[in-house]
Amino acid sequence: MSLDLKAVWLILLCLSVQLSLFAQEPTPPASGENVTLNGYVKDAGSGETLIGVNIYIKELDKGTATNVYGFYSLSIPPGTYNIDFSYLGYQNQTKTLELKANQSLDIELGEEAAALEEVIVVGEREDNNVTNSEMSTNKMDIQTIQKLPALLGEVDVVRSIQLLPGVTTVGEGATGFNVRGGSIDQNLMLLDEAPVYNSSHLFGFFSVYNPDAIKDVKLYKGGIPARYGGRLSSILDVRMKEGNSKRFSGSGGIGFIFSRLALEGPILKDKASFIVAARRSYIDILARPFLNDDLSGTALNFYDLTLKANYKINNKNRVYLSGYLGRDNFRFGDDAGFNWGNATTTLRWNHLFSDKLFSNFTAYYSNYDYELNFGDDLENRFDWNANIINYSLKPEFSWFLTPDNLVTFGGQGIVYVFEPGNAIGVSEGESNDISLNKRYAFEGSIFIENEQTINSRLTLHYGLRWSYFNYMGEGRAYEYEEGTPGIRREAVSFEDFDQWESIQTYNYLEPRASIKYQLNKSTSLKASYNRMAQYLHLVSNTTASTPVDVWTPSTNNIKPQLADQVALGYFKNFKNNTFVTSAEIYYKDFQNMVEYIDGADLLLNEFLEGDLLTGDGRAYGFELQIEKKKGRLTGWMSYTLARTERRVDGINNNDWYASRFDQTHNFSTTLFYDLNKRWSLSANFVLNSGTPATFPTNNFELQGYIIPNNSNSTRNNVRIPVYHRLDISATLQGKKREGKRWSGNWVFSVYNIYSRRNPFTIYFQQQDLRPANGDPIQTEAVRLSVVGNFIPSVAYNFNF
Amino acid sequence: MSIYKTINTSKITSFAALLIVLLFASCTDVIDVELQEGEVQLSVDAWINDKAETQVVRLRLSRPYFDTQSIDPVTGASVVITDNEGSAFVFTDVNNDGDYTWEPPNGQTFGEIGNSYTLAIETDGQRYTATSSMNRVVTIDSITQEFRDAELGDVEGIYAEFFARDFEGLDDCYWIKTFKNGRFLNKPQELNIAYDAGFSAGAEVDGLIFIPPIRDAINRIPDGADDAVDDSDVPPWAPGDSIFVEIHSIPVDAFTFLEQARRQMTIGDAGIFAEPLANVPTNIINEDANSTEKALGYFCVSAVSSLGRRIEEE
Repeated sequence: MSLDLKAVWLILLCLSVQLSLFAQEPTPPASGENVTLNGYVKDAGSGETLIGVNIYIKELDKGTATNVYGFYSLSIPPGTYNIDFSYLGYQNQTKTLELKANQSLDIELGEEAAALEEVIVVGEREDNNVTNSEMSTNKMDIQTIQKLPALLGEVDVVRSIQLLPGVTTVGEGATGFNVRGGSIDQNLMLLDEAPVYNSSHLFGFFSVYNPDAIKDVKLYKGGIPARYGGRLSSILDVRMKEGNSKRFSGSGGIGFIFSRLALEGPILKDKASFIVAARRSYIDILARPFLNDDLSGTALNFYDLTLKANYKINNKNRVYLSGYLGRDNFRFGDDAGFNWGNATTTLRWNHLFSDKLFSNFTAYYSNYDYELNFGDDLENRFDWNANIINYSLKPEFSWFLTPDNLVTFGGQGIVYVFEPGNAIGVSEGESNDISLNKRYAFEGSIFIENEQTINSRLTLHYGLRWSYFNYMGEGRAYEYEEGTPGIRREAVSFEDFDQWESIQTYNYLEPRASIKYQLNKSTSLKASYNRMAQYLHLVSNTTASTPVDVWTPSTNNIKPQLADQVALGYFKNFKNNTFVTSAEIYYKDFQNMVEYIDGADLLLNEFLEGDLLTGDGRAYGFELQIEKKKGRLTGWMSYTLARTERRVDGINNNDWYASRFDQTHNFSTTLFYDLNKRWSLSANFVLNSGTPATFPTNNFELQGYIIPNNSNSTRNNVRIPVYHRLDISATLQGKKREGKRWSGNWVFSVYNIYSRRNPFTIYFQQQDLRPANGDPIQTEAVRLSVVGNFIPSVAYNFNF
Repeated sequence: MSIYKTINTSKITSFAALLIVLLFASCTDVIDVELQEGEVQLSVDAWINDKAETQVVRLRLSRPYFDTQSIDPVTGASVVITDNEGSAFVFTDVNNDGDYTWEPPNGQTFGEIGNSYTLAIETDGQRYTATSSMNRVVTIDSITQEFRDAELGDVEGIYAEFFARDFEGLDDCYWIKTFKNGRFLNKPQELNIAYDAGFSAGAEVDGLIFIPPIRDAINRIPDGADDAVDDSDVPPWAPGDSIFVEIHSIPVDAFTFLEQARRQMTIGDAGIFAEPLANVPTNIINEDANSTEKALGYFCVSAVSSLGRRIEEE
């Protein structure tokens, strides 16, 4: 057995040891010892568990919050306490308890009855922003996302996230987002813990997350806890609803792009529930009049299906099964087809080993694949598909040691199977298989972290993650010549490896820490550091990532990417937490980022590694956010001043250059206003510096072609013009009818209301017109605006 | 397999573009842009072949990107091509316009298949050299025509294909040039090159008949102008048109050059999926590696085969 396989076993062994250690039931407390209060907090209406509910004991000035499964646990001395449960948008509850022994207390919180009447919310702990040790994180509840003015009326998680400070995008239609100078593959996008490898529908216009099925969205940009890993720049943790466990209900809507329907309800009352949410686009139906009749075989649609079921076996055990299946499907007659999609399945088991030890075991499967084919007939055709599949096991334990210490530990093992390209070309009946070999890898990690309250002012959150990567056979590993940076390197030798045999291994220790120091009741200072390692790379050289971009593992030639980030923050709330503000500065250092030689051939290339370059990156910035949380007018403003740079041997004369998504200034405002009981308005305004692009300086003529040239060989030497845009929307709430469960609302929105033609890119070309013989060819600069006009839309949403 | 990729993704992106136009009113417009000033460089256009005609090496200075009118010839240079057998071909600037020419003597042509060639240019105190070789070229077996129904983006009408079989053995590269009624189809999108019978190295489509997208790329690409001559409502060929196809053998490095040149010239076609603009590498090397004077352009030697026909009534 190789050394590397031993490491794999070591991880598994560690995990099983942890299990057995904690499997024993702790004995009841002796007198004088602490007792434990624990339970779940749920929504009174739907039975959904609530994430991040604050539990606060006035007498002790101590508290905790529910975890992602709605579970909390507090170990405190026996006594009589007033316990506050508070959650924004819900009525607070205070329970008075005489606590003598360990006790379970499940709470159901009711939604605020009429949000419009001046409800004075007295939740003392709505100052999470200030009191929590978390920084560089943004939480967005689905209600907020649903109120935002949306492109074509389609509520979208990823587009909403782009309004947060520190988050940028290269433009409309681009997949994913960039966090603090990170590329799009540096975001770990989770859906119920399973990673989604391509988050987009219709290229990048809409995301895979169906708003009807989503409960909670949290984005970690920095101070990332040790339990997360595998990507450098952010974690987008999206949690799905469990489904109404009280009664059967549904929601849905009809918009310009999608029709949506979600059904949820109890399978066994208060024991088991389900949710099924589906969406389908009908662009093909809308586009039909614009297409010629002869395109009968044409399809263009995308759909997704999100489902989840859970079963509460008893108070100690609960299982969840969730799945996602989505597909974008384009077919052009019988001639050519293109489709892509993700499929994920997550099975989770929550188990309470004791009152203080909560555990979750996750097993998931995730698959992203695409398929392209074209050709007239069987004699002349080309078929191409590629995928990335992974299987993972992930135990995680939360040990509510004392109210002042919450220890979380666990690990993860992921097996990857990459099929970078299976392709067969047939020419006049002679076929040629030009498929690339499969690649295999294992990624393992173990972590431990502790959230420790030292005193009422000082909170620490520290942890350590050890990650390990094994690029395994069977496969062929190439060695490449040294070569000149920026020029294609040829393979000089290769070695074949057997199944499971290690080709290359890597491991890193990833320390994480954050600290909060409370200056006063409404003000705190925070600092954090995190190191992240990333073993997977999305090979993409285009401005917006395409669905055919391929994920590749770290290999003997591609090193893992690393990032170190430090951040400092100042958090202050005003007017009884009506205004929540934060200011942060960060500095991030990247190593081994993947770049590409000029003219790199990234697809179906056995010798891809010879076309890759590695370089360093750095990103720094200042982020400011002001949020108004209460009243008829709510919303936030965010401003980011930032710089994102790369330095790669072989690009830009080996000097630092601004990355493609560098935006010096990024300002956005999002406002919500409740006009009266039925009408509410929202608006958002975005103003960004133009992103950098590479423009030519000169041209030369060769064989009748005009070839552009940048005589300085600089990358991203020009900025495209400033981007700005205003969107508005108005929601009309349908009349509530006595005794009727059905309620609906109409959403009218206008995207880009003043029709600005924001450039996505500017490119240079010979004039399209074929000049008369002998006339010189003209060159021109062309601005591409993805959204060239204002886009009005109407959507109808309903609940029952 | 970048050719498949090129063909596929161009079709897909054009489709995506259509979608995006419908949904989002996306648009392109020509704008004024101020560009950074660059340095003027020597540009060499030296594509030599074995056709029985005057061979030309053009020496020019590069121009600001938007200037395509001015011609800045480099005169007074010495331009000589030598082969591995010691023969020298002296190119002279007869009209003093930067076009250095060599006239094949009666009944002869330039070069011989299998030979390698070195171009040497001396100008302004600098000496530049470049090497190439004349490789074997396949013959065109046939040019066919067929009437096709409309497909996405293509009108119904007559379309042509050519048939030729790649040599056994890797790394034969070809530039397929098409002439419609005597006029070279010279749009960057019409630049048709093959690596063996397919699109790129590593594809190993060796010894086959050229794959369909290459066979098909002799049909002109319409332009956006509404002139009823070359716009998208007009099929590429009409009865009576003459179609003439030349295959130029090119060395692998010239294939790479043309492929990259095409990428840079057609970068806008990829829309939001465009790669960053990059300089196309040259094989014109200043012998003084420390000199700051660098040249642009390319030297390539080809053997040529050709076939023509007249388009018939369907």
